[in-house]
Amino acid sequence: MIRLDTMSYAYFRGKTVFDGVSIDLPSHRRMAVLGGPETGKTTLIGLLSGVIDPTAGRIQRFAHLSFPAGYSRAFRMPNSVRQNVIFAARIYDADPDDVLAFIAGIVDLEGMLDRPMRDLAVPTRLAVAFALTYALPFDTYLFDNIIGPGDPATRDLWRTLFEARTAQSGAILATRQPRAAEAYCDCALVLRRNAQPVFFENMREAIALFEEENPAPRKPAPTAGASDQAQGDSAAAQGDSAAAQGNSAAAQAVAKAAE
Amino acid sequence: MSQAYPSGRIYAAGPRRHALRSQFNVLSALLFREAEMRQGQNFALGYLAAGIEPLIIVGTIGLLFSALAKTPPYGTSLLLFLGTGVFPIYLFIHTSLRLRQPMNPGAQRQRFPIERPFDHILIHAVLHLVSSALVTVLFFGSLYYFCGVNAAIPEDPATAISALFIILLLGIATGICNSVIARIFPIWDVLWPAFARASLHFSGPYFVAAYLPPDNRWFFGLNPVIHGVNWFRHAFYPFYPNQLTDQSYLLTITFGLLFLGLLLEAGTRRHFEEKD
Repeated sequence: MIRLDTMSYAYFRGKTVFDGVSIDLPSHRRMAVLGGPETGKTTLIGLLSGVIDPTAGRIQRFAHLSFPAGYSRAFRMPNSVRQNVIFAARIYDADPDDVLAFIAGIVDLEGMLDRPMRDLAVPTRLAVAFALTYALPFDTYLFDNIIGPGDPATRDLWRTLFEARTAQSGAILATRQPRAAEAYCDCALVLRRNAQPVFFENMREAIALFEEENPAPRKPAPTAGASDQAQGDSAAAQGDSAAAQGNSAAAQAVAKAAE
Repeated sequence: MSQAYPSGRIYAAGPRRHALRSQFNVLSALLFREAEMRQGQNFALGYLAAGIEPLIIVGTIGLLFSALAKTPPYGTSLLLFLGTGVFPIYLFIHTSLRLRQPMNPGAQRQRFPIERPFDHILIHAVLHLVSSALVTVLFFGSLYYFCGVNAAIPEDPATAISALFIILLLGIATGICNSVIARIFPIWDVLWPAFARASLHFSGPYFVAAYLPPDNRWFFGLNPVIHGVNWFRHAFYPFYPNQLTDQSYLLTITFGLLFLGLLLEAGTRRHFEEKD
């Protein structure tokens, strides 16, 4: 469990992102953080991982939380790939040899293991960072938008790793795509601008609230007008959620066909 | 796909031991990594190389004084007198220079979230202490064995160690203050090394501060390092004049700077996180 205790965060320039948020989040489930642009998804992932500190209040972590997946800023460029991986494995209490073998099995390093980190191509470095995230044992893995770096050819690989790791551990995935949230997660936290975040056990209700907050851009004009008029009308909200369900079902069908 | 997923060894322990264990992991991993690195470059035993600088200073001043055929300002051995001054001063100078590095606001963004700034401060201070201690022991030991200076073994080792410890703390406190000042005025990163090395001459490595005229002595007494040097010399010379050994002044400055530095660092941290 992760407990946010009247946590506030404001950028130094004065823009408040979170204002006295008190909420308990599950650490051993797959939770989506749904929110429109500038609602603080990345900030929340940063706060949970400890990359940034809250302005006020505190975060109690009753679990071993990861760094944001694919965190490559901590690599020391003059050090070799091996030294960097061993350092990360040591501070996160995993066996360095196991972690090295795991990464070598995922990323094709072709003898680059003992070269300085700066000699690696940027996509390879990113792949090493993601492989390192999956290699280290955590209770909760934190993802900001993506579960693996681009490149359609390796998408299945990262999906397999995600499924394998989250079978035992939890994951928190920040996204603005309801389809991704539904495909990867089974509960959700919806972030809203100028309002408290809401936790939903049920993904459909979460998506319904999210769609209400962020009307889909390509919606036909009359429907958008209707939902604007009927704000707070539960019937409209349910209609939206049904539409979202239809969308995501279609997406899943497409994904299955692709597999 | 048949991947063996590395598992943690940490989970057998309870939450309290978990925290201690991860602290230990971070500190030990950092210690071994930083020992091999200096200024971001891979450099075998980089920290030991810093010990060469006081040796060069002692050597050059010793050469100059021999050429001028001056008698040692105090005691019988010129090299011992210079060494008891230069080594504590360089402990201060180097610590105050090196500790800007771990407190650099850009550096915190280039770390894993589990590494906190004070882990880095602790590790850099320990590494610095170990390397300085090695070079100092080597210097005084070789004076004793090869030059036959019996006074090179301190009569009062406890005084020597406590004086060096306070000087190290003063260096850490100054280093933390410097890191904050350098964030506000980046030119400070260039000015401070110059000031620090120039302050060598005002900290009494080659004169006895207590023999200065009383009017000037008061100004020299404002420099806290001179009190530390004199304190350190008491361990070697039992009858060393103690007019400028105000231990309470040194302690007050040290803890005052430490408090001020930590306060400034905590107060300005968020501002500078946003800035870069």
